[in-house]
Amino acid sequence: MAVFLARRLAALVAVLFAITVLTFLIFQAIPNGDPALRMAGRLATPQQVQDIRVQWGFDKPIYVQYAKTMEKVLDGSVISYTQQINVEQEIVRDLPPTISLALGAGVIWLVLGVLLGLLSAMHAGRLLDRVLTVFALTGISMPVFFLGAIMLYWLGYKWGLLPLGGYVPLTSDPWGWFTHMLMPWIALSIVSIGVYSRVLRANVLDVMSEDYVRTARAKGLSERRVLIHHVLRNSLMGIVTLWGLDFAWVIGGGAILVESVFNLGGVGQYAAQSIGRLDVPPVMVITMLVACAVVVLSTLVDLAYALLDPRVRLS
Amino acid sequence: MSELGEDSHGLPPDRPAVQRPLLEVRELSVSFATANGPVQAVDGVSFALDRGEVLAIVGESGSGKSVCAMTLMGLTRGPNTTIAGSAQLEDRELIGASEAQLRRIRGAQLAMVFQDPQSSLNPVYRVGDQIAEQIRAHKPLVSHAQAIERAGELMEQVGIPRARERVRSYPHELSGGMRQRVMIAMALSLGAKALLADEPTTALDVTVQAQILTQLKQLREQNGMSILLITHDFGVVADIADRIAVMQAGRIVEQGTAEAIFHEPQHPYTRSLLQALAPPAARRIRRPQGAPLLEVEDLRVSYGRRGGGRGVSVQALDGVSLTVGVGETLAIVGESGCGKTTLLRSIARLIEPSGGAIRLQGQDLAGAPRRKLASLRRDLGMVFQDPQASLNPRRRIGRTLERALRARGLGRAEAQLGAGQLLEWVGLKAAYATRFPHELSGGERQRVGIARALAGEPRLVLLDEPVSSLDASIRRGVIELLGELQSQIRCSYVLVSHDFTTVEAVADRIAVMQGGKVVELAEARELLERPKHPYTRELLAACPRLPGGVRSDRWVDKETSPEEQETSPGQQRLAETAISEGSPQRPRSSFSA
Amino acid sequence: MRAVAHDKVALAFGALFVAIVVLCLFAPVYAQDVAHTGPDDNHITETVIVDGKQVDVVSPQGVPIGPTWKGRFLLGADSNGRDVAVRLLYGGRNSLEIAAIATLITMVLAVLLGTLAGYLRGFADGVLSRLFDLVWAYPAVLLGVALGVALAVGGLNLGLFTLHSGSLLLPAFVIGIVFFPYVAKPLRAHALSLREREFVDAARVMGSSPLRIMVGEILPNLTSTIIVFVPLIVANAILLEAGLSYLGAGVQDPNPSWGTMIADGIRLIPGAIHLVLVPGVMLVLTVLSVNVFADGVRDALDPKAIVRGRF
Repeated sequence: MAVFLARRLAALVAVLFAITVLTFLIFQAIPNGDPALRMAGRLATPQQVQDIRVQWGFDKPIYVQYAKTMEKVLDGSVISYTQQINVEQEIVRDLPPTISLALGAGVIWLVLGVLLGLLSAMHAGRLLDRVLTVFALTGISMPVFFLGAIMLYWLGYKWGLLPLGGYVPLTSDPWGWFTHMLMPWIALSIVSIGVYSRVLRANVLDVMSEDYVRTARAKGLSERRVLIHHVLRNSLMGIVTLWGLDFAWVIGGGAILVESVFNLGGVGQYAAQSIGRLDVPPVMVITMLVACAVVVLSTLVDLAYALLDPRVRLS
Repeated sequence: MSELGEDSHGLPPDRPAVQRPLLEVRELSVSFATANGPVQAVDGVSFALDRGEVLAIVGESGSGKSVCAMTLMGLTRGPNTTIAGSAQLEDRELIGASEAQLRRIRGAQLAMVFQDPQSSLNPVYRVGDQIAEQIRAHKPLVSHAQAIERAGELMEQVGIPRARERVRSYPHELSGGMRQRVMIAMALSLGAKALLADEPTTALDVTVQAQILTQLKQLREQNGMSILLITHDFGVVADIADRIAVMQAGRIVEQGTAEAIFHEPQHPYTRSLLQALAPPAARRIRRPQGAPLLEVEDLRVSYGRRGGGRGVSVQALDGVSLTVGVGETLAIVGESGCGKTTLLRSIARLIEPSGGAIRLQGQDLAGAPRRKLASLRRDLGMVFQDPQASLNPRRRIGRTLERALRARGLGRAEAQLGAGQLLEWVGLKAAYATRFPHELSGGERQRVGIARALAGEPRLVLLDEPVSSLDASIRRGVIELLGELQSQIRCSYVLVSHDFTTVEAVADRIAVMQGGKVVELAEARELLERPKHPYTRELLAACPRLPGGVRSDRWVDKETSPEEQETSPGQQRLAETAISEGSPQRPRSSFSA
Repeated sequence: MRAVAHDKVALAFGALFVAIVVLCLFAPVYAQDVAHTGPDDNHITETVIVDGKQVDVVSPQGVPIGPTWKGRFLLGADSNGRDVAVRLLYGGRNSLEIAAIATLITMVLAVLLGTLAGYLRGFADGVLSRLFDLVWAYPAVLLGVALGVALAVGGLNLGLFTLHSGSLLLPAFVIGIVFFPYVAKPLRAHALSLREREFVDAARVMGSSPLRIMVGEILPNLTSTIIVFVPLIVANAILLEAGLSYLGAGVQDPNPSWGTMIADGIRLIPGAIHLVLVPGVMLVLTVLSVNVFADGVRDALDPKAIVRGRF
């Protein structure tokens, strides 16, 4: 187990490094013109462009550029030139709505996804399964920003059931926090539940057809015990891994697409705005940080896997 | 033996009141609705299992024997299954019983052991916990600690060494034999009266198989358990069964005491099954002269542990040396992990050896560079174990054979012609060339595999368990084909097998392998009748054999002179036929002993 | 493939998708003969007769008219006074074209690299697998955004070919790259397992070269996996393109795309909801029909495959 851990951590560090390199390459090294111009954005003066060139080392060899970039990122001194603000400080300020969004949606789709996936598997081939599959497929086919917009319009404007966007911190008004987050949560969850429940269904069906489930029944165990102790327990690994993948999707994409619809002011919205302005520094930093976060998350998921499966744990 | 049963209602009229069977099955029928229409898996099967007796149900794959057993446990119930008939376990009707009733019976009155102990145990729970789970499911008042204690006792009872420690092991930490013992311990845990054992030893090595069978016999003697043993292997049955029922295509074609079935089989199917296991007809042992065709010298193959980590490497082959002469058959036997398959694959250069030499017709095979290897391979053919997996499912048979012929140097047009001829040569119709592998039966696919290997008449053919995946009744035909083809093209065979019946039928010399080394190498008869190495003896003793299976001298051993070696293939065949048909040295069938 | 023909639902949705594609291909015809206007033509200062009344195409407050259900402005106008129905069809053409090219890029890359990695194993596989894992580690939208932004300003100049920043090939290229590891990894796994099969051994014993084996033995057995992935990638490509365009990192103005149209609409909420609904519903219908069809294909070819629906 210790060996496994050590190897995983070493791999993690390697991947993190590779991600920073790749992100750097994408933004600074694409052969299509002047990277300094790109960083500077559309409103820069030639003097600013020249300053940037020196600061970031674009007149120096590529590894120097990389070193300077990483220095700035790790230092917290990346500035957005179009906006004249410190990128990383802005990110930290914008974290709470994004975290609320991701975690809240994560809980919702975990519970509902497992439920629906299990139900589908248990009634495989029958009516309930087909109905649930239709819902899941529709969920998968929806663009998350469209879903959000529709909900905002009908539940917010037309019927006035829920607030019209914006974010209320949990600490200042829990109920307000909840009502403001509800629609974004649902928008994200509908898509995620669709994906999650379908894969889970396939996973559970696989486990159900395993020989040890047959043995469990042959031992005379109650159906409930077979389901929970054997089927569910052995599907856990799939449940955890898949949830990790979906969570990565949310923080890496769902958040960006949905936050601006509801004006939550999170990191995703900041990213979306920067993209719209073609403001490169924030996009670069956010890309790097989110990708790293996702990789750390998937390592954690891997470790959880090891804990759950004695074959891995004991080797 | 049968106890005095109590008088009760509903007795079948044909059995006396005192001999009430434990399990009585009448006209059991099971059919499944599939995409291609209903499939009748079991068709009006009736049998009875007395107390304390072992009834074996023997049949090949698809005979419905497993479905039968699973239906008794109620494991085949489902929306697509139709079950009819009756099965009474001591007054209780199993077919049509409610799930709740069945649950009380499963594990407690009627226990089941399955074929593959690896997949039949849940990998994430300890074995002790899994036994305890069964106990507590039926006796909720027993505490977990008590149940684990009992699990330990049971595991000791079934012969698991260090049982108390092993209670805390996970399934993957135990060997195949031990896992199966755990399953048997589970079956014992609640004092079940009957045990359904579905191919309990098929996935195990032959020596382990013998141990498990002994264990099962013990169950009968010490615990008075009745056993319904499901198997395809008559050899397994011979030792342990009181009565035998033979199943074919969902029906029981013959039932009777073991004696009766073995010595006076009535039904033609039963006869054909037994015939397939009969000792092969006499053959002349070949003793090749001249330079050996294949030389293996101190061959070593090791696998490093994946990923570095501990740096322990597995020595699959630890210095193997042997030779194969022109036109002879060398058989290599051993249990799983002994390295026999690795040896074969190294000769074929599918694996790179880490040391030692291999020479084919004097030329270095082990170290040959790519180009040389390609030309050397023209004299090498290989037949694989699983005919399903050894043919490209997306390619027609004809194209597969054409490719083989072209690899041996034929031009396109000749190869096309040759493909058809090859098919006929192995006993198939030339028209099969346009078929895909899945349109052929297992035996036919294997014949195609043989045709592919022998295309272009290579001098050396490697065979990896060529008949192990085939049903018993087909094996005989394929083995005979191999023999015929060999005498026609005068090639040498190196044949790997774990089954002595196959080996007896074809081998001139036999090598026994254990732990990556050859422990004994001798002429076939010598090894089979006077084994020298203790492991060889253990292996031979563990082999299931038919009653009266004394290995009488079937070998017609003529001292061959060099001139006789040169007889033409046709003359040779003639000579062998004469020997097998009319000569007084032909052995009498062991059944009539 | 015959099995798919039995799945009526999948076929029906497949037909729906084809119908949508055909409809979008006829965009110029519609523009010319029915709406009498092009996708970029502004009518912001004009008026139109609706129910006998004269109405501003775009009101002084900036709210465009909704669907008139007539030839002109069948589905309404957008904030620049452009005909929504016309833009819908042209936008559909763009979105579908991008999705098709992206899918092609993804599949070609994935088949090539995945098969190589799975068959060659060893060092080549090590390098390729690391590559797959690295690209795969980036959440798809994020990577798409990063690439899209980086390329939006100056286009792409790889010496061999140049993509200008207004070109549709740019988002297609981005999406193609983003998705390739999602197909390459399963293909590699499949190729790996095929390599262990005895018929590959048999080919090796016959002396076939590695190239011969990859093309002749491995590739034909991968086709069902490949076919299962194609509609899946198409669906995801359409969604990703919409997302990227919505954010401004995909299709650039003035080229229409369903994503940019929805973005326009969202800006105007609560007015002119038709600007969100029309392209949105069209998008959902299109993707749904591909997804249902993809499901049918998967059931027919490889029922045991566990595939995530959305990357």
